[in-house]
Amino acid sequence: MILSIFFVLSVTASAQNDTIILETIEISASQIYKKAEQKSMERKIDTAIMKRLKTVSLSQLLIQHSPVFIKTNGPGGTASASFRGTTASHTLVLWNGFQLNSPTLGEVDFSMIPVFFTDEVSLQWGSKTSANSGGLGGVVNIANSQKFNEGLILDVRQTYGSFNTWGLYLTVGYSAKNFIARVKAYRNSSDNDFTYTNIATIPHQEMKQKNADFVDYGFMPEIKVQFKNSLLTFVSWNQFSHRNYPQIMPNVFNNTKEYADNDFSRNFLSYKYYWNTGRVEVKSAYFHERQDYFLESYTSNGNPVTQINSLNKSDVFRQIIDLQQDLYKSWKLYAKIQLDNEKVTSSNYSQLPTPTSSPKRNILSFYAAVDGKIYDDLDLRLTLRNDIVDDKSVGFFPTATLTYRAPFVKGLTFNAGYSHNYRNPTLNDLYWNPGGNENLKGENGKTVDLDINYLYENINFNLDFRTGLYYSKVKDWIQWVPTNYRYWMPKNVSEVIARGAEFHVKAIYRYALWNFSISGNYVYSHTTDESEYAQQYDSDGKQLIYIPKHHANAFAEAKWKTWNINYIFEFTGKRNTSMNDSDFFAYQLPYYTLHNITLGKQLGKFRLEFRINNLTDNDYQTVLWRAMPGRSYEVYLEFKL
Amino acid sequence: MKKTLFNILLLGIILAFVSCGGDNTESEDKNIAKGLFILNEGTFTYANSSLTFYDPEADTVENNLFYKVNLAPLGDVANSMAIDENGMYIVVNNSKYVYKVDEKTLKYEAKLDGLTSPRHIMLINKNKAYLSDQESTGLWIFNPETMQKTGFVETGNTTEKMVRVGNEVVVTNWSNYYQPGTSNSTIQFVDIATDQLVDEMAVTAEPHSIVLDKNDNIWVLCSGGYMPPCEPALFCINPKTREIVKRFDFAEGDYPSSMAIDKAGENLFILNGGFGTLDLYKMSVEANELPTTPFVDSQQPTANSQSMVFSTVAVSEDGDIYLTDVKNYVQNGDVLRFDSNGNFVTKFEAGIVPGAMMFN
Repeated sequence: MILSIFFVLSVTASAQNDTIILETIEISASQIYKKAEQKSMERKIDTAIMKRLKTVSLSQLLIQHSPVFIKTNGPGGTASASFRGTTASHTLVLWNGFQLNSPTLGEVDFSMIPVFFTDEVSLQWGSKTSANSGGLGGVVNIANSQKFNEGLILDVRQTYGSFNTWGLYLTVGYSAKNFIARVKAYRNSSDNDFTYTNIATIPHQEMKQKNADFVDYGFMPEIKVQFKNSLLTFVSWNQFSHRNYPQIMPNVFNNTKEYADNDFSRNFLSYKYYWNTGRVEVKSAYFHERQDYFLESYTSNGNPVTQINSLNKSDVFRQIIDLQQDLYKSWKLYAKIQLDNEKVTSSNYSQLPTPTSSPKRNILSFYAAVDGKIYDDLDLRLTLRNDIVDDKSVGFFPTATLTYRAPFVKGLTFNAGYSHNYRNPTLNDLYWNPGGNENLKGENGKTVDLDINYLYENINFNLDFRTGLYYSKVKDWIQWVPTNYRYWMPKNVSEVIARGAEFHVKAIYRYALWNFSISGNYVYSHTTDESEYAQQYDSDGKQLIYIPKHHANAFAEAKWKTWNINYIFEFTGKRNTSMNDSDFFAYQLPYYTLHNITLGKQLGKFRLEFRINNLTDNDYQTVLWRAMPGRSYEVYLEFKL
Repeated sequence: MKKTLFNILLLGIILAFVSCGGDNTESEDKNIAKGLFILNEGTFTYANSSLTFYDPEADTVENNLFYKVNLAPLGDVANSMAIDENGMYIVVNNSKYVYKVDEKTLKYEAKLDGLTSPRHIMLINKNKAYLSDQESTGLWIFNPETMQKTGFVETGNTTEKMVRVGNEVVVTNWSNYYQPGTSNSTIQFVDIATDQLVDEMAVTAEPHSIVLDKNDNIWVLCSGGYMPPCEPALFCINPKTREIVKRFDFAEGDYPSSMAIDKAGENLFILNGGFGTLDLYKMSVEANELPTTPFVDSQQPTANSQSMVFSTVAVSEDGDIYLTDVKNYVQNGDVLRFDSNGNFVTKFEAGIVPGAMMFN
């Protein structure tokens, strides 16, 4: 059925001149360079790469093209991020300015964000994260943007790959001079029954992954209306998924049933009003999310035993008023007031001694920033935020950033920043039964960082080189610690220091009909707990669990006329899975490398790609004893009007 | 410049293809002496359980024995061990299997699976053993020689630790978390000839440990439950008459959680304490009151040592006392050895969350 839709569309399409498309890409790439020069502590993921990876999840985009490390349980499994040596709950994800991190867990599952539903992805760190709480490691920004006046929008992408993996991604809409209506819809499913070598059974054996199939689908209608001095936007992101979870390698013979259903509807309405020297935006969001996690085993007489049936529902309202005003000369003022109301109904909170099984939290936040030139080559940015959580002020959080454009080398800039931020405990931390600790404080983080960027451009060669150094100290870091009462309890015991360096390089070289581009990231992150609690157990100075000290990725692409071939390389260094600091298999996962290749061809309005993932068929584990697929293949077909 | 840059990258890419992490080690041959096995639970869902052996004579210790011999992990949350003339049995709770290994070489021999949440083994004879289960309501019966299931004793409650008294096995009903509506505050008597439940007695919530003393009385340690109101208590029961001989109530907030008895059946060793700290107490089976002074203090057990998080106690034939210290649960714990007077002898590193201990 899916295929037939595609073919009907394809028949109606007509052939097009190939070269036009190449030109479009070149233009957009150089535009990015110009933008990049202006922004500090921020990086946008290349739109050319975004276009190529529309059918993957944000987790794959980030692990292959950004300095953010993703810990994934494999295809159809949860994926969490670690940004600048911190953990998943310190990576704030903003969707058009609204926080996506769940109020219960504090994290975002990046496997649940299809790149298809985003138009822009950018990363922010250090003092750039100051407008919101929570991003102690950094912020992943995802945004919708569709240009006006582009006419009919029609875009169909179909993927088919190993393990009966199907994807269909459809965009239809119309972009008029002052009005846009666009709907995106997708469905992605897989049997995910790959073959792997189970090295946890005796003897080791080749087996097929079981109970790992999944289906995700969703739709996103968008409306944008432009008036004389204002803009009205409405976006509704609706998604549903059913995912079966496989057992870890030693447990594959269990007749355990484990799955999760995740459904959500995230909606926002925004009104922006512009004047000569500024703008104001009023926006309002309502998110309804539902997660059901289920784990079941079977007794002697075959009766099911429900081990976990946890149902979490959250309703979140977020209101933002955002102002930008030119002041004097280059100086600008930004101000934001935000009110968040979070409410969670959870079966995990229900047995509380006090009947608060639907905890609520209200967060009111005031933010102001000024930036401008102090001297010709020197910019200063100062920000201050005050958050009031349930009528109680959690303090004032300032940041300062200096940007210096070296006059002696064109394209060389330095950014130095200091920032102070915090993260609220999650509602699970506060109310989980048993163990939830209502006396928890927020985590308190201070960061200093330095970025050095170099940009070189000429007619057929571009080079973008960035280095970032950071040092951050998070006090009152929340950790679930064991108690003698057989359950664990979150406490503000840790004091975590994350320090490291990031390197990013991107180069584009054009020669006749050829176009070469390479880009890559290397990240060094050393994260340790230096608290008294850690010292007591000799854990201080040891790298935290599942944060690699080294990881890297690289992308290389060659384009010739309508052909292109690209290669993606991923390197993940060894990761502790315990605080033993020993390279024994169960205490530390070894490093691994992955190689992926894509061959593509543009045929008029059609594009055909053939992809090979894990080309060298490497056996590896990202999470201890979670089987990962070996070599796999994928065919991608696109029709774009 | 461009050319050089590309060459460097190309070289990097080629190098990256060359190797991949992880080296296959060779299987090691072992010959286990007389001593103490320590089973390390590991972290839930990390499958990093491991087996440690300590030779008290030579004062030597070796970790990760199961992996070294069999080149596969022991599994997820190893819970208990048993040994007989057929071999050694290791119950791996969240992997839901029992591994049988040679008691000398530790070579894997067979597996019993299809279990719900296996906990402890009571060996009856060469061809029969009971296996308790935290989620199924009764005891699995299996043949330890063939490692095949042979039946199931339905008791109506989930089952935990066992002790044998003549022709009966007394089993504790520790948890009703996964079987709501069943009891977590009883002990049950099973006839080993008929494999039938014959009787049960009420104690308090979460009867954790059960031992037999020199007077043929059984002692049942109840941790009292994990949510208030808790009723931590110790019972001395005459298994023949099914009468409670003595009952001792712990203070509110106490969490007694492990008990062992010496070879003579004269002294009980009980881990008890409050939130975050468990100390070791010694108590005579003739005593009429709970001990008030710790035999081993977890906060100051040895000179210049940090506070310890004790989880399990075991007593050797010659009266030495062994305590596991799980530290912060995410790194290798320690095992501490004391003499029969409570004097610190030595300590050694085991695996992650050292739990069950067994002398061969």
